[in-house]
Amino acid sequence: MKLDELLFEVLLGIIIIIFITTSFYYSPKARLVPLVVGFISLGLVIIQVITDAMTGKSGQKGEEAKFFQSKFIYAVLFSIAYGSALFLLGYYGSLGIFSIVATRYWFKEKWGTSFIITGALLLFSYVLFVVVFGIELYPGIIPAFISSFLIEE
Amino acid sequence: MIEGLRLIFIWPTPLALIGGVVIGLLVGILPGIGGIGTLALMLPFVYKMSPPLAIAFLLGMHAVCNTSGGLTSVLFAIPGESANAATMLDGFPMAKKGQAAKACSIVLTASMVGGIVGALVLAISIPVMRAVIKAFGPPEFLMMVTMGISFVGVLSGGKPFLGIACGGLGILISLIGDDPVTGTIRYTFGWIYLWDGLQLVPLTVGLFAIGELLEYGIERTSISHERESRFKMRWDQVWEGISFVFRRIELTIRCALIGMFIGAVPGIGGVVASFVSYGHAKQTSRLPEEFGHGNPEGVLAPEAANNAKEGGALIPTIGFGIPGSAAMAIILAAFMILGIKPGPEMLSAQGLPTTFAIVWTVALANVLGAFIALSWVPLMARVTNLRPGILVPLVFVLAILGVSSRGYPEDILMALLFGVVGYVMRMMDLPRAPVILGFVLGRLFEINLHLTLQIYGPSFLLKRPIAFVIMLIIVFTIFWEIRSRLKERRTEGEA
Repeated sequence: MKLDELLFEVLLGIIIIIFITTSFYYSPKARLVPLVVGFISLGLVIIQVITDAMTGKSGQKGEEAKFFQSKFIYAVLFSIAYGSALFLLGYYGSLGIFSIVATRYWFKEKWGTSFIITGALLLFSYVLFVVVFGIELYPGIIPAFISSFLIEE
Repeated sequence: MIEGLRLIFIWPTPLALIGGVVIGLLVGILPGIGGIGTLALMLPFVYKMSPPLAIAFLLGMHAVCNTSGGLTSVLFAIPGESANAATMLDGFPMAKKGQAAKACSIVLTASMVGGIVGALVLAISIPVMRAVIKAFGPPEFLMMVTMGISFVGVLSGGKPFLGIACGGLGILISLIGDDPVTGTIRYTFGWIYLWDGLQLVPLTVGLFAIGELLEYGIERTSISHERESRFKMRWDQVWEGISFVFRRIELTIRCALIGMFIGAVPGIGGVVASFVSYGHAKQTSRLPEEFGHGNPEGVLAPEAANNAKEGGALIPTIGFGIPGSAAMAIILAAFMILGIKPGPEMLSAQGLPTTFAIVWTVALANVLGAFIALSWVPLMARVTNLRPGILVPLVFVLAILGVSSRGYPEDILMALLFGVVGYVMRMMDLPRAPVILGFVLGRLFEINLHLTLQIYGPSFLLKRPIAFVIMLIIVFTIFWEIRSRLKERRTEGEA
């Protein structure tokens, strides 16, 4: 069986075990479903690992595994970067920066295309949320600090 | 019946119907905004409307929300409504193969047929369904929920045990937050955001849409790899999709009836209807191995069930005043605003024209919605060939928009986290659908398990024959699927 598949199955088993063990802190009624579902799921994961081992195929090739790992790192880095930008710059700031960086630098689009896409996306978001639905989106730590500073002034 | 039709055609009711259908189609495309939210937003507008006008507007809008939600499932792997998640399993692989127009056309035609079947059955079954609905209590609900999760777990992907375990993980994730039975706060680890529990939209958008987008972004590719379709408006595929649904009309009607029946049972919902239909289509297909890789039957089945369930959900709403779903609760509120009293009065001589106006609205809205959307299908399908530099930011923003509908930044973080998980599961070809279904049905599972044990005790299966029969179906299906999978793997191993 493939090593990464085994790792995923083990990780799934660990997550289920965390759910099971944490449930012992709750009242008997509150832990009934976590225990029933948790133990059944854990049992099924174990059976799957055994079945895979019995009817196993050859392991993943080294180069292919490395390729997957590098893609995984890209995905994690992107999520961390976008999440940080969201908290620092807010919804519109993070969206604008993402759109420009993605279109201009990652996909090598022209500056004009990049700005048009970014402007259209920001305008659409603003109209839909603020004008139509009246939802105030998260402003971000830096814009909120700047605006509060300006108001005090 | 004719009187009901006449009510729908009194001016400006047709205009309200068209307006409702167009809004419903637009709303369905936006994940997270959702039909229920829009129904609630539109509720204040019905105060000044006449009953037929309000019925045409609200039901017209609601009847087609799932229709356009299926289109985004096909084009971007972003289900517009949670009930469209099953459509994604085969619709998106079809789009990747350059058959987006065909898949969209199947979505629309199957939705239309399903909606009409649902409306027809609604018209004839209100008096009959009373007994059936009354026969369903907590044990039957519990078994239906278990059936939905285990069917999808077993049927999606090549690892049946892992599939069901992923469904179990979905249930466990749904338990995060406030316990509906005891009020205990569970698995929040001190984070207040989790007190309300995880939300469905960030989970679904993360696991599927962001997972896919990460792939296109990193690989710098479009959704469809078929270059030739870039310059063509694929009307040929549209006709192919329409004719496919009519060639499989028997399957379409069967799935519509499944959807209608599940929709009629209050509290079960469209997600189970679409996944159970998907499972049924796979079990009865001549090419079950193609499911999950772009089998058109896998698109047809959930969409037919999806729209038919609206007719089904109207049965308890109209017949007994018990809403069949959350959306029907809002429709019920609208009925009360309009002075319509659901219950036996709706079947009396005075109430029947209104009842039939409802039936006609559902049927006409589905036909209208399908025709409006079908005219745009070839253009929409070309989206899958857009350059990744334009496509990825566009779809990413669409995904983030859906996630942001509550205005909490944590929802976006959750979507990103599940995006990475979805990406890993995608790379390893592991089933993501059971996680979603387990999550959607987790609370229902918990409440019904507690109620069942309190009322009937641990031996409830011996006291409730319908629940027992459902359990036998579950055991048989799981056993059969596992047996055939193990056989397949042994054959592969020998080869």
